[in-house]
Amino acid sequence: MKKESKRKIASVMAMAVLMASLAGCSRSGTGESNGDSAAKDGDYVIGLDCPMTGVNASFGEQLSYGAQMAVDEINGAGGINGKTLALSVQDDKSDPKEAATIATKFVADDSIVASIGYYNSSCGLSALPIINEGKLVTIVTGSSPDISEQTQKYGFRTEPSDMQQAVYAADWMVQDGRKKVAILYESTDYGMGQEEIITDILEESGAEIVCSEAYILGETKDFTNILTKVKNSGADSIFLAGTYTEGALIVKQRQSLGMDIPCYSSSSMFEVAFLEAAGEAAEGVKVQGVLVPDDPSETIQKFQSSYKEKFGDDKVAGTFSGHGYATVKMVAEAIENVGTDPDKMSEYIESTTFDAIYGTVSFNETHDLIFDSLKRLVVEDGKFVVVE
Amino acid sequence: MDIKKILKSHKAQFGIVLAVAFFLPMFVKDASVTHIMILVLLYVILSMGLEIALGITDLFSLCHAAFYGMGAYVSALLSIYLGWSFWVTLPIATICAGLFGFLIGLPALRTNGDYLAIATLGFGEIFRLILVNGGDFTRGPRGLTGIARPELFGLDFTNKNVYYYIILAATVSIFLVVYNIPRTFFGRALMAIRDDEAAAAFMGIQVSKYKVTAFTLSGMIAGIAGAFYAHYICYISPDTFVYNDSITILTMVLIGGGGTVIGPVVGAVILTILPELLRSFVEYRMLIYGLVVVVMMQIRPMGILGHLNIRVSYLERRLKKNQPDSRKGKEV
Amino acid sequence: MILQIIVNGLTMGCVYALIALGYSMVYGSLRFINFAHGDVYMWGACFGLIFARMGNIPFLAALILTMICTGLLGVTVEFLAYRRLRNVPRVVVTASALGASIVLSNLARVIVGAETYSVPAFFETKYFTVGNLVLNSLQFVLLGCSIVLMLVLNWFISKSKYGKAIRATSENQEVTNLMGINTNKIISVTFFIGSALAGAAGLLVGIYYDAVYSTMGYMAGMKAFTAAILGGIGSIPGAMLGSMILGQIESFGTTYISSSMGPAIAFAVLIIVLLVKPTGFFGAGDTHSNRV
Repeated sequence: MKKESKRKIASVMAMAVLMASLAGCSRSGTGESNGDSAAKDGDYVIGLDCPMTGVNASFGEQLSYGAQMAVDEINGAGGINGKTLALSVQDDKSDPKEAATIATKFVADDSIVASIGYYNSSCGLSALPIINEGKLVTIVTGSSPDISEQTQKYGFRTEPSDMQQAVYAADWMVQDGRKKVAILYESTDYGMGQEEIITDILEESGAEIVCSEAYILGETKDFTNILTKVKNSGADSIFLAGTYTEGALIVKQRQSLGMDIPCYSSSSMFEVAFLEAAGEAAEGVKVQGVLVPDDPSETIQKFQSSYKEKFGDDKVAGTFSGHGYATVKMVAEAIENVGTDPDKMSEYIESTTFDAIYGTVSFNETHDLIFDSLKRLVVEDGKFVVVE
Repeated sequence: MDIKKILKSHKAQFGIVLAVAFFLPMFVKDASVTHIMILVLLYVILSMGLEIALGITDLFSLCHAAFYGMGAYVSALLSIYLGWSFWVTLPIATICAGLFGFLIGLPALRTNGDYLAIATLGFGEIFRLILVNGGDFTRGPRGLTGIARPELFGLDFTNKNVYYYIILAATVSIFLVVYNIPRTFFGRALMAIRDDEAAAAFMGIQVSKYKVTAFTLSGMIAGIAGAFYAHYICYISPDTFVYNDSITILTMVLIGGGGTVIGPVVGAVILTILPELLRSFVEYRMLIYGLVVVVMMQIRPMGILGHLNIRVSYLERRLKKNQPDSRKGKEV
Repeated sequence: MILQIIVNGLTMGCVYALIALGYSMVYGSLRFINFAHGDVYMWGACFGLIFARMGNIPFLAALILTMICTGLLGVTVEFLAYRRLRNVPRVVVTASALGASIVLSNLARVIVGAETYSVPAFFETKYFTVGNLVLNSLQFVLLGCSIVLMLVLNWFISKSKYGKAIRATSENQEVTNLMGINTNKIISVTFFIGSALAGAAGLLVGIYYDAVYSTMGYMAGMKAFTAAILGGIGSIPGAMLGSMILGQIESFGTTYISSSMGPAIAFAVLIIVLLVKPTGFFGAGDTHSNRV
């Protein structure tokens, strides 16, 4: 019994020592509110919440790389009014609970001037009430239409909303004369939102939705049954509402079933990783997007090459790298012009037209970024090519 | 009286912990720390709930997050669609989560151990898929936004400390209930079932009735935590209540020491704070978390506060008698 | 249409069977849910990806290498995470397994990466069209490999000396130990075989879907365990039959009921089976598992 209680005490103490040492690490790492280290890392800190683990980890990586690049560029050019900028990256595991905790941390930390990221709409929605209560300027990347209601004063959103994306895709399909459409969507807010909107628009314009099938993100891998169903429904085109991982599987399995049916999708499929994963099966897939990796324009080519230089040759900047990069630049511009007062920053971001990586953009009255530059793209010879 | 003896009594320990918990927010100026303290309390409530099923009765449940979600969704839906006050929706949510626990408890009568684990895992997954495919009612994966904050005597519920004290009050009451369960006839019956189901039945304990009651209670307690969560964060979605959370709560109970009531509290505190401390490790955080779980299980298999309970000491005695060289294989 | 669905179900069933066999064997000898098993399967896919990227390794060699690597991985996990926990309640070992599962999947994310990777082809895929039915050579490879592996395993368990020892260990560990058999060694062998089979499944699935990612283990593992219970846990033919049935249920369920409710259908069937016949089709009964 004595030995037993000794072990008990020993393990509790070991745990305490471990936690204390970790606490030490985390303080020096992120620069907590009372830590002096924040000033050393940068005078202004931007909080980035994104999934660094779990199913969406690759998007978190894109966001953080893009943001890091912008921070390095700004610091390289002398910082903001002589002060340096730093990034505090936090992993939300795509879990809304985590995102709420992180948002609370960001709000409480005085050195943090703004926060960006929130890849999942659910994470953004969970963080936005906290952000608005705590008056922290935040630019999220979730695409759910609900975000427009929740952004209120301090929240903004860069990713085109489901509405905008779906309208854009539907217009294209109508123009192409698609009459019998099959929709495959992931059962997430993103997929279901798109499915709803695109069904409405297509049906209004006289097209018929012959088949509408959901699948589970990160779980469904076998689409042969769903595709067989599509085949038997006599559809003349497929609309894919989901991320590129499943999208690649769908187009590949479509090919292996010998189906030659045109595929349309929105910006989620617009990733170089999609081309790599799908290979030749991606040929002819029609997507839309804002940041074209192969865009010959100078800014984007420079962005791509320095991205590769910084993070390795196998990394290609995708849509979310662009978001990470652009949002940091927007925040920096706001700080440069009006300082760190959240009300002034919010007003500045609201009223300014930004010259961002994806062209000239501005936020509308619901704080959604309006993209005039949404482009139609089609995959040709393993590359996204802009359709005029 | 010997001061050491006093400190060893549970009452004194409880008093000290309670005093610390009560006065802590007064020294904490950082709202994010208060937020984490609220999360700690919610997880303490959740692990208390699981303790009844897993620790006291040995019903291996992997759908605790579903009870949690049931409480949160019922409360949020009532508040959104009917505009009811939190103080009305809280008991209803508790009852609904309890009913859900009752339903899931029914298969517990026919299955055992790991079979039950996998069945409850199935229930958890079905629950999540129902939420996801719930159409306009549950708003599917988009989740429920704009859940109203509670109202009470004009208190300012945007202040985290108010939440903290209300949830602390709930936690303490639940703790007292769960702490006293092993001292009641009901609790002794549950423990008898845990230690030997057949013998318990032979002694005249209605095994099925007690097992289902344990599950119902477990669900009710998780439902309370769910309702608090929904009205605290003001946003819930099916992603919030997934299998991973059931696993987290399970490890909290086991790391602390199942069957000891105090153990799960310690486990919940440690495993809620640990990932927060690991935040700066970003990508390696979950890796370290997993390693800590494995290592803790090796160092203290019965949990930090776990004593070798009757079942194991019985087993050890048996092993010693039958098999004096039971550890021989390790040396070869 | 129906034929296509059956073929798809059969392919999935074979994969589940390979994973389920490992689950069933481990469960047979140690009686706990080895949650890390699904992640060993995922590592099989990762090893497959690594070998495929090297480019000059023939398919069979890659398969065998992957099986050896995952087998050793399984043995290591058993040695580090479960060996010390023989005499404690099974739920504790399960917790350790959950921790091991978190470690393995996060390790893959750190080492291999967070993206979904496509696997460079070992051989060219050919397509065959029979009426409405479209088959490809990958399906034949998958079916062939699984059937051969299952036959070898069946022979090994029922005929070889080690197989006998494995069966004896799962029957009664203490008595087997008293008979002079080093049960720890036998458990290591069990883990090696089970993990090697899961690794083979991982490699085959990685090639078949041309997609490898660090979170692929969890759901596959859970479904395989479901299949093992369906067939009767601890029974090798049971695990095979259970997997085939689950594959068909899923295939028909996703087509005719709801594709997003697929896993729910599988779990619903499982719950019904547990209520009606808790021991599964071939189960020897739950008597062992009540024995601590």
